[in-house]
Amino acid sequence: MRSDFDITALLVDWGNGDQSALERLLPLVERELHRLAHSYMRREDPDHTLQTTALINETYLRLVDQRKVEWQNRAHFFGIAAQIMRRILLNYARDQNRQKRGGKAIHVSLSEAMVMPAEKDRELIALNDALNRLEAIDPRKSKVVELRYFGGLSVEEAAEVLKVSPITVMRDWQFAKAWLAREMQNGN
Amino acid sequence: MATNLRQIEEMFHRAMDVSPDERSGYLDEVCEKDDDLRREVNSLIAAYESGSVLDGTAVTLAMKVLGSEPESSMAGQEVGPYKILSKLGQGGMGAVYLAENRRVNKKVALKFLSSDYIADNWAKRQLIKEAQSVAMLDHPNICAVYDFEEIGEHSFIVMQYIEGQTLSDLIRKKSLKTGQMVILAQQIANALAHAHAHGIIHRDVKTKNIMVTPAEQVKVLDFGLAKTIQKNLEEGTESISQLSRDGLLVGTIAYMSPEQLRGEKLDYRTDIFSLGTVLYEMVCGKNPFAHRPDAKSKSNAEVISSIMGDEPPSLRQMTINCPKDFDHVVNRCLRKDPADRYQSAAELLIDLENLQKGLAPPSRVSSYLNVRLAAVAALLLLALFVGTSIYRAWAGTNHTLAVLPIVCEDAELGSPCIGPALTWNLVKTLGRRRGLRVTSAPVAPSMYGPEAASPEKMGRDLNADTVLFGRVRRGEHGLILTTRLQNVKTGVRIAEENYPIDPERLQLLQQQLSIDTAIQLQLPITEDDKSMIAMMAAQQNRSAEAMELYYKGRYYWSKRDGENANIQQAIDNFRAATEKDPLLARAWAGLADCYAVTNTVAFGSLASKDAMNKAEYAARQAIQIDDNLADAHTAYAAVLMKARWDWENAGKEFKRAIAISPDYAPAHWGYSNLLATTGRFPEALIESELAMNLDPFSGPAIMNHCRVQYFARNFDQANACLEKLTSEQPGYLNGKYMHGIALLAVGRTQEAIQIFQDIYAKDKAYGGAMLGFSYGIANQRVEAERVLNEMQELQKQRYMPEPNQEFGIIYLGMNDLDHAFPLLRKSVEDKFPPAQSIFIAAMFDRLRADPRYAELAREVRLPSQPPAASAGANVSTK
Repeated sequence: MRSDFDITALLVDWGNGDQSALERLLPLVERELHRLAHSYMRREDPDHTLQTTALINETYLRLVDQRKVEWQNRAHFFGIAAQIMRRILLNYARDQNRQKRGGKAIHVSLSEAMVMPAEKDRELIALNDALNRLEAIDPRKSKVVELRYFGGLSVEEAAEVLKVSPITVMRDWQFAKAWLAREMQNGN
Repeated sequence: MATNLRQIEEMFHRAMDVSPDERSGYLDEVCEKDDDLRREVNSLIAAYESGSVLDGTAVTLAMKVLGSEPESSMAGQEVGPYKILSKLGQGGMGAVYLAENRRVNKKVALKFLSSDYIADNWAKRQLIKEAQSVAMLDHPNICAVYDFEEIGEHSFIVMQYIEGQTLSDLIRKKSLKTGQMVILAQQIANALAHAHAHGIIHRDVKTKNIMVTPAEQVKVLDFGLAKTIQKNLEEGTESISQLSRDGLLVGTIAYMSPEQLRGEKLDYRTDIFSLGTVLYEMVCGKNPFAHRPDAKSKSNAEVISSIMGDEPPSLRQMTINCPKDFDHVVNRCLRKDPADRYQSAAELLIDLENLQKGLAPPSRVSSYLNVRLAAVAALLLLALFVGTSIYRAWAGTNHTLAVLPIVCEDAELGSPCIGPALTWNLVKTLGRRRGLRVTSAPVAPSMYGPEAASPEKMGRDLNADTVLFGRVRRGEHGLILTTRLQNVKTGVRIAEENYPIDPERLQLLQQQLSIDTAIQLQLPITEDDKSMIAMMAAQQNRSAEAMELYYKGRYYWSKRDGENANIQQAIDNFRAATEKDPLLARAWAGLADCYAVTNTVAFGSLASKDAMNKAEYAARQAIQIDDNLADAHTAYAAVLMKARWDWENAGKEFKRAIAISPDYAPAHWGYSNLLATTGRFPEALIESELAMNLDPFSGPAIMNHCRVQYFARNFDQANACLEKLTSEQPGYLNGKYMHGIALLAVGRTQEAIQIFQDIYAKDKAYGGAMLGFSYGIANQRVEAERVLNEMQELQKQRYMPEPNQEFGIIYLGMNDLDHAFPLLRKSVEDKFPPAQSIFIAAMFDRLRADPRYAELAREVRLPSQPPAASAGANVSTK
């Protein structure tokens, strides 16, 4: 693959604090996620709950030359993937919601049709807003939610990414869930 | 919130750690008097217990979203030779992108198939097959399909890129004029008629599938591609509402015919119904079945029941913009029972054409008709489409080739037949190629035998797309192997090759066979091929580099499909090959083929003479080096006939080509014209019929045969032949034109005038001469002079290849021989190829009264006496 080296190098640069590397990394990872999501959709019953991290892990293994990166880069990578998933879902939810509000029948293309249940879009938008507010007061909790919910990471994996103990992740997760649920209830 | 978040969090966790029963008491204790803190923690716990917000994970959903949008990150990517530029839209089966084919620097549209389709192998194969048959369609109102490609994980259809707007957009913007509507309708119907004539049903005619270019040319998209969707319905595996929920039918239901919604087997008439809904919407701005009286959209269920049972509101009541009588036409399309509708698009077209006469057509010349200027006076155009028959091989992945046993025609007793060895080797070497499945059979087909053993039937039985067969026969200089590659579905021949057999060099022959076949199947040249080519070159003492260039040229030639860019690539490669190795005969022959085609494409243009000279030179070079090349002899013959008027040598060359390759259609075609021109009609008819049978779906091949009948003064046969042709292929203008001429020959002057009026209304330069001529014959002198004046005006505005002949014909119609003769003589002296018909077409018989005529005929060595009508022909007095 032509982009092997690019991604690995970008990941290393980013790990060394080069923020511009992240910007270049995002589209490359997204493309690969796309590709893999596709092959998953092909292979599996779409309603079947997938192994949550399998996708991201596979993406990582495909894209990154393991010999050239430090082990913790994997955590960075998972963080990126979760971020991408969040953005993708949000964009989709917004589009779907906007079309509904436009009063027009939703023009769904063949493959897009009914991917997201009708109420789910509003819920995702509210969640995203609440998550942004949480980030303002406690960035780590917001990150935990991003990793666990949007990235599908286990407590242990999230702990790896954030370099904290699994207990901390668990507590953050529990509190964030309560806090977000309340925000969203109030928001409505 | 005044209370510290950290404190709240701490309290929250502690409270969560105790059991729910004890929680309240615990909080009373720890919060003491801090009511705010107590309230905060309580509300968080309540929210935690009630909420299900973050249960599970969003990954599955994100994947569905990701998986549903294969296209969102395609722009800027490169897939094979295609650089993807931008997204054009989202269609039923996937996204459509504008891309550039960088091999030929040409913009194309790529339709990517979403994974839902690709996942299902049956559906994909079906789609490929369908795309293949659509690729056979060549019509100005049909968006051309070039290819089906599978590169990496992408499967996509390569189509013509069309600039313009969809009919849907035009309707929405209310930018259609009443006068335009019938013309657009005609073009759509024309496209459908053409497709139907080739056995293809569109199945998804809707306003979004119809493009209109800035020049107001209609292009219908996505022919037959809805078939895979339809299949689900036909199998009854899913209900309509299920399919629509899954999005399979969204946006399409409103254009479906009742029988389509019922999931019945479909015929052409389903397209007629859908076209009716499109025409209805075009006139009144609304789909006839999708709206309630208050203009709100109906639900899918309501739309379906409306299509099944409701009569749509009358168009004339809906709008004042309805062209006169258009509502009757639309209503007839929209009949619930297919038997009550127009029975063919051709029938609909007739009504539309009649309608148009009652309307003032907007003043415009359809741009595609201008192209026909190249074919000024089709009658006169002795069609010498040498090598222009368009074959598409379509060997993508999943292509199956059946290799049938190569037989020895007159195997001598005791001498072994090398056929089986060649066959076995072909199966073996071709089977190794990627993207090609090779099957075989123990029995050989009979080439001219009964249907039971035809190559097509055998290919079908073997489930193959293409079938290869061959025979070995004795030629002048030893054994000759002839192979033929044929499309199983259409029976169209893709290629025929002749190889002299040199027993000392069987390995070389096998290599040649394998590479030639691969290239004819449009498989790209691989690294393996390159080493094989190098070996072949070494065995023949030829330059390996030149050989490789030659095969590259062949590859582009196989993909010519009327694509000038590919022809140019073929020319460049062949020429480079001849420069590297001037003794490579086949490269010269390839070059001659290319130039002969260039000439027909640019027929009558200034490039013509130049292309002719180049074709002649290349063909002579080829023949000089190797006398056994049928295509070189045919190309040379065409040049001798068209540009040199050298009948004797042209005849020799055609005969030589036929002797080398008895089933080479272009040779028979060209030869039939030569025979007719020189007055040898019985032979000409045999040849033109042969050419037609070898190429049974080709409009020009059929027209050629009808025309030879006309030349032979078999006017009844000619008219019957042309009536059949024009009803089967109503969009084929040259057929109509020729029909007009044949009608004149039997005194049906008014009908002919009508045909030429139609053509003239569309394209003055094309229709003028014959319209003026017909008026003259009908003694409508004023009209004839009017047309003549208009033509003379037109000549000042734009280039006409040979106006002398045009004007001469009109004078001839008015029986003004003093004006006619010098003009026609001039076009003969210019060796304008269509002028050959002056000596053969019945419409010029008046000229024979002029004493100067016989002299001119002698000069060009053509018969000056009119041929006698064959038995059974109707002799016309006019």
